[in-house]
Amino acid sequence: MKEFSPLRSRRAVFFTWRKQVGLEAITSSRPRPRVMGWAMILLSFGVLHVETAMGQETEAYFRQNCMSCHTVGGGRLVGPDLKNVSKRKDQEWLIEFVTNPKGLIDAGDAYALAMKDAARGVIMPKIPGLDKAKAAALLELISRESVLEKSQFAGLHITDEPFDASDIARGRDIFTGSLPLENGGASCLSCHHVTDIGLFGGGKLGPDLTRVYERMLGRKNLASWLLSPATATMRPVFQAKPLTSDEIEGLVAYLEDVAKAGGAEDATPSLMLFLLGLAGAVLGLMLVDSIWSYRFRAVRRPLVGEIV
Amino acid sequence: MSSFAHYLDQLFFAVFPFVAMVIFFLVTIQRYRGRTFTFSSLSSQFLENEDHFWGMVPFHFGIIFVLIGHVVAFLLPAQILSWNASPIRLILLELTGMALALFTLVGLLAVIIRRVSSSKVRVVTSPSDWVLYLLLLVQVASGVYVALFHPWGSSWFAAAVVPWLWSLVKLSPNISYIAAMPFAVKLHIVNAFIVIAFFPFTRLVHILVLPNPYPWRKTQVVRWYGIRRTA
Amino acid sequence: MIDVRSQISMVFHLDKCIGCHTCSVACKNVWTDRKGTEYMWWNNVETKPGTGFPTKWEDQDKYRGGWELNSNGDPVLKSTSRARIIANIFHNPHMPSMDDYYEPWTYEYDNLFNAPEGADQPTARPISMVTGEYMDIKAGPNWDDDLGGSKLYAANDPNLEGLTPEQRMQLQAIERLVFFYFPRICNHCLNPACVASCPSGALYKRGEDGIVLVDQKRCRAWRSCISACPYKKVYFNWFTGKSEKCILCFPRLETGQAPACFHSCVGRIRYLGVLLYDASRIEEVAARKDSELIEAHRSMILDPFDPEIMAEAQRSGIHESVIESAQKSPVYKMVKEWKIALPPHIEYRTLPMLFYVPPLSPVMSRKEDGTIDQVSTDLFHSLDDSRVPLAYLAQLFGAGNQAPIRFALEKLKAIRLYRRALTVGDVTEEAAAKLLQRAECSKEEADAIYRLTTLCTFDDRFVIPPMHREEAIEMLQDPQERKQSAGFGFLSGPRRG
Repeated sequence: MKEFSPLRSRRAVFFTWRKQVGLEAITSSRPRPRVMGWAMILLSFGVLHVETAMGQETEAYFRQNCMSCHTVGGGRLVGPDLKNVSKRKDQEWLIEFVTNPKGLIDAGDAYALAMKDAARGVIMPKIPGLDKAKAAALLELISRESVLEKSQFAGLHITDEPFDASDIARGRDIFTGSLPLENGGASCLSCHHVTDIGLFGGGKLGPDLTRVYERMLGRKNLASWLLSPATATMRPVFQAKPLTSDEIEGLVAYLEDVAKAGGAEDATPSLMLFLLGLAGAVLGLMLVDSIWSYRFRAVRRPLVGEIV
Repeated sequence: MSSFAHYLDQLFFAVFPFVAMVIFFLVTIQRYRGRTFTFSSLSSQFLENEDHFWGMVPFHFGIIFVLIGHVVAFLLPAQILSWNASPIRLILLELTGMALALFTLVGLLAVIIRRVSSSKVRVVTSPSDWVLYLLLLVQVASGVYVALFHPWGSSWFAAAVVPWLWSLVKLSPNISYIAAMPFAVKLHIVNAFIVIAFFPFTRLVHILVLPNPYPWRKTQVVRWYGIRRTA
Repeated sequence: MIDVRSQISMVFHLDKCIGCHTCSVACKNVWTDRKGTEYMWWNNVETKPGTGFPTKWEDQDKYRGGWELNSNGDPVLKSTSRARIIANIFHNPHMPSMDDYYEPWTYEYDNLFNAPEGADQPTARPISMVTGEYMDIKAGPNWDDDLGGSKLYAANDPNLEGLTPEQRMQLQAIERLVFFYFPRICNHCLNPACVASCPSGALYKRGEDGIVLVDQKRCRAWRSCISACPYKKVYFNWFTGKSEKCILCFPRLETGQAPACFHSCVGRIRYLGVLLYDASRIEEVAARKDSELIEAHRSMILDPFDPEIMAEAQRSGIHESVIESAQKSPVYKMVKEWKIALPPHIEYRTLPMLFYVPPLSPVMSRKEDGTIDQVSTDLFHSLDDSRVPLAYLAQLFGAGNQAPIRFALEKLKAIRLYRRALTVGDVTEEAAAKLLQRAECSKEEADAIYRLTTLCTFDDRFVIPPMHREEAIEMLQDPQERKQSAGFGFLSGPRRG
């Protein structure tokens, strides 16, 4: 059956009608822009181009979504080292776990529960866009990387030695932004607070990082996490502007120091900021009042002695 | 993230901005061409001359500078970030922004109070005005809230929101930048596009007919109907 | 380089005005009976001395209307400038509010018929025409009419500034006080401050006849014109958000009829006709010293009988019939030839094109301690003893200079005595001739002035030039252009929302 297009058929009818009544000759001298048509095209562009993670390369996908918790041959982070993972469990189980980690745990799968314990109770999150095909592609990538002597996903090597004061100071400068990030990312202070920062504190869009060193269970995890920040807000920003390993080292040093100094987290907004802003606004009111002090108020009322 | 929330994000941050812009352009052009007479703000200064000052001046000057701030960050995000690199400069910028935002808020509240309290001014206030004042109040108040509870917006706006805005400009919306933003930020963004969509139906159109030729036009204006001559 | 333009100009003869407000009512009924215009009086009649409408409009320290000279001696607007326009656009710092005019009202007449039966007579309370609420009337368009409330209103007339305390006392003294009427419409100025101030370019002066209009579609309610016009003759329609002003009834003029206020004037005080003037001199004249303004303004008006001017006018596109009309113009005679009509407040430098014949105040006795005291034993007292002090008239019509007022009044006085010599005979013709000579007035001129001021017919007073609208339309578009395509469509009314 021929496809029925209501739009086309109505237009066809309209054009026939136009010809019949002779409107063609009258209106053709004043062509009206087809704004509605353009609007539809614009709209459809908007809808079609909603970007998802689907079309990305597997390697980049691994880097952005897996590396904050896993290495290949770099040892355990929050999640296990994935070197030769396909030898530990079969493909089917792995795919099922990766696409729905909580499902297997809830189902009481023994291996899955053991993994949960190994990660001190942290359950792998469900990654957007990770379907069976993607999981298979990832497993294939991991197998390929597992046979290499040093995988590109071996993770960041971070020293076990204690950091010195200059590392900590550098980390602090990177955090506040006085030492700009090499790849042009926004400084940590933009969104994060730590206990000892500045007059008005750090940003409050992201979580307080005073105790992040402890939450992330130490240097190695923290460093890996910083290598490819995986939260929904940070990923798109730092995907294009990643931190360098030097920067990561400095930040880890600083955050470790802050955590060990034992400051408290603080989620209250800065009253000082509000009060100073309010003072500025009041100053502004006084300023405009004096600039326009000559402004017309009334002539008749003062003349007849009414109170102005 | 539930799929419903994901769907809402798609709707609000990938589709709605385009809908808003299309409405904005279509209706603005239609109104300018078809209903030129209405293309201005209905001034009520004549009916009430004194409280008018305390609403109009703070609100307009405040909102103009706040908007300039948004536009500069939109156009020059890298420069804003490097300005903010020094904590002192960041605080200076944020304080200025906070002062201007509160200045705007005071003005807007004065506008609304005046509209409510003066019976003469109420007569020339249309339903669309009330809706507009509500939208603007939500916009300015949510802006102040975000600046206060989610600092430092001047930095993260440039880093996370501007790329999303540019993805809209490039007609390939990438909502991952803002999908995880706090509610107040999302409200501020969505309400901004609601204002844009509502813009051509309201008195806001007066922004588009700012007296731009005045500074360079001749002092006197003469119109000739018959023989054309240079005035 | 001379730039000849034509301007429909007006003369109001104040000695003939009886203050009946018929002009105002005619105008109101034709043009300003719409919502938002109730308070507007494109034509109003003020009592002088008095504060006028809006209250004390002549106090430019408050209202900041008109032009002033900057340090370079160039005329600049008092209320705005290219630099200040944006900063002052949100809140116009020189804008009066409705309270300085008055809140328009009507009465609850309905209640007179529909009130339930009761012990008291039903009343019709005043209702605001803005809000519809009951209101107390505090002011009106003629609140100080005929010196009503003169202790407050007349005493605060800004024109009293140049007067000695003694003269001011006289103006207040019982049986010595005096007033005259001052009807006002838009002056359709040559250097209009309203036009110069409009940020949108909505106000304009029509090239062919000089009528100043507001383009209602381009007006964006920025309100600059309201403050810029020193005569406060541009009004803000609070309902449509547009400025409105006297349009000199151009639809009537274009069909050969006099404007409504002119047509209805019972005192026949109004004259209308074309003047040719040199537009290239506007800026130069507007920059003159106060003392030179009247003479310079008058010198811009060109002689329509001069063959060179006639040729130049035709080169500038002024139709032969308009030049002919300018030659018959009563305004040209009164302003340029006879010099008896003077511009109001020319120190505002808008170069108004409505001129006034100043009033003589011939009653000369005063009562003191129960006895009638003759100010003068002559039939006509000296001008210096006028009940309306020359200094007061000089504030109104002479930019502070008494000389042009004195000249005009001497001439008018001489003509009166000359006519008296001819009709009554208690003045000798020789004495009258001597007075005429002193007033620089020939007998022919005296006869002409007499005829034009007392025996004037409709056609003498209103010499309306053909407007040639048919040509104007053909210049704008080919009449064939719309063939087949027009005939139905929509015309939007002045509606918002």
